[in-house]
Amino acid sequence: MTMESSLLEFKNIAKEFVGSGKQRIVALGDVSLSIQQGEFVSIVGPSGCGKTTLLRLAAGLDIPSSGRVLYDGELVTGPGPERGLVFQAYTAFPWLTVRENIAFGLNPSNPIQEDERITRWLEKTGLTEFADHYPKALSGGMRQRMALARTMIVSPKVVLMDEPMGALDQRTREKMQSFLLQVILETNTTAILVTHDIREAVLLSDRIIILGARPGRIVGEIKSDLANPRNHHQLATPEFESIYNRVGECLLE
Amino acid sequence: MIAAIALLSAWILIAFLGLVDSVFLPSPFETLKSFFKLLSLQFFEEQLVPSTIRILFAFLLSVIIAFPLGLLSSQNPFVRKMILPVCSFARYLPVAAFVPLCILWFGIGDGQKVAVIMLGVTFPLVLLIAADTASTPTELIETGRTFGLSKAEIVRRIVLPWALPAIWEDLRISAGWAWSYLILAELVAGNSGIGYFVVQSQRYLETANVFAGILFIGLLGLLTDLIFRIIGSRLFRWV
Ligand SMILES: Nc1ncnc2c1ncn2[C@@H]1O[C@H](COP(=O)(O)OP(=O)(O)OP(=O)(O)O)[C@@H](O)[C@H]1O
Ligand SMILES: [Mg+2]
Repeated sequence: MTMESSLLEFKNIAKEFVGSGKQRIVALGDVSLSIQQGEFVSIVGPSGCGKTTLLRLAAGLDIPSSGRVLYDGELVTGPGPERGLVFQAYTAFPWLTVRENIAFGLNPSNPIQEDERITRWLEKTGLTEFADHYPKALSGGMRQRMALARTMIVSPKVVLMDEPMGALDQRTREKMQSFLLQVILETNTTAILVTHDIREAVLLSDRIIILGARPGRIVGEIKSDLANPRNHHQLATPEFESIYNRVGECLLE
Repeated sequence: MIAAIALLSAWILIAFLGLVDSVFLPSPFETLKSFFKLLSLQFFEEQLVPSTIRILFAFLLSVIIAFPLGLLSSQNPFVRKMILPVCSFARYLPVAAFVPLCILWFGIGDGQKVAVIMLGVTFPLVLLIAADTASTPTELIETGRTFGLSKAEIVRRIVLPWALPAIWEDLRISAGWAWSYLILAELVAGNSGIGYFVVQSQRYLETANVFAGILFIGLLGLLTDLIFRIIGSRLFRWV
């Protein structure tokens, strides 16, 4: 872990909000975290511990109350296309077709090349048939794949995902997990995934960060060194079991 | 629907039994006869065309003023603080009370009608458009920001398309108000227009014509509404 290979760095981050009754809410205490190029990091922790806040700081949608967020060694002062974000809610632009939604972040200066890219992403997400439909015709899982495609198509260096599979049923969820693994692997994108599902965290990531609440802080960090490439069969292995239990214990503390 | 049929039956019954003098309540048959007599070139030229031109002009002007003001108020806190309180207050001022003032300022011609309509429509429309554009979900705006869009691009590519169906709906509703304000302005002063026709008919005790005129106004309102709905459902298929 050398300094120059860390792509995203949180340095002594604190974030406070002013609540409705003017009281201060400390969403994050003193968080320091460094993420390497190409790493897949999951963040787990109880509700309200500041997971979304952490992602928003990385995306540049919020600015820390104290401390610094560095991307590629530079101070983050706002959002940028190199840091893509997939929201907790399925965000779709309802007035755009699926194809237009996916193409939203593309620069229309090079239409032919971009057309190919859109077609490729439509295929990858299995949405080709729905390309000219409006999002209202899509199921939750399809919308989520569309949102992921819209984020990934602009080739971000880091993709920040806030419980992208929170509201999916088990079967769709597993498909999405495989899809995500494949996409991240193919594009060699650095990924931060917020999730409630420890199994998902262990299966997908290289490292799991465990947050505690009040104030939000890092209470543990566990490496998930399952063999790559990952697949769902690994869920039944003793190695998986052991990492899973360690994360669970850490969360209970 | 049932209420409408009941009302119509009562009307027919009263007229048939001759309970009320036809100067006060003409029979449905007379009203219908007068209504079809209205559908003449002369009525169209002298009453309908002036009214339509006034309402189109005044409504367009109101929208042209209200649209940027509403949009700016939702996007800029300073503009919001300047404009919204004024509009919230002006909205409660009764338009009818301004009719004499408009006559004083603009005479009894087209200017007065346009002024009355604009007074009644513009202020609430600013508030409605401000609310429509302000209702854009934060995640959509933030999605735009993560793609590095500028504030102007966010307005053009996210806020406006999001708000357009709701704005269109509000235009449909305020077009209805515009009709009532037009008729009000024409009733009080003027020498042409459907409202003028109604008040003229009342002076000559042509009550069937009064009824026919009112019916005509109602149908025009309904037609405007229908046009808005049809265009809206074509334009906003995603809703
Ligand atoms: N805009 C805001 N204004 C006030 N308080 C906020 C705001 N955003 C977050 N908070 C507070 O900060 C804390 C952390 O919120 P955050 O959304 O980051 O939690 P989370 O870990 O993502 O929770 P969940 O798992 O439920 O999504 C919470 O107590 C929340 O109430
Ligand atoms: Mg959250």
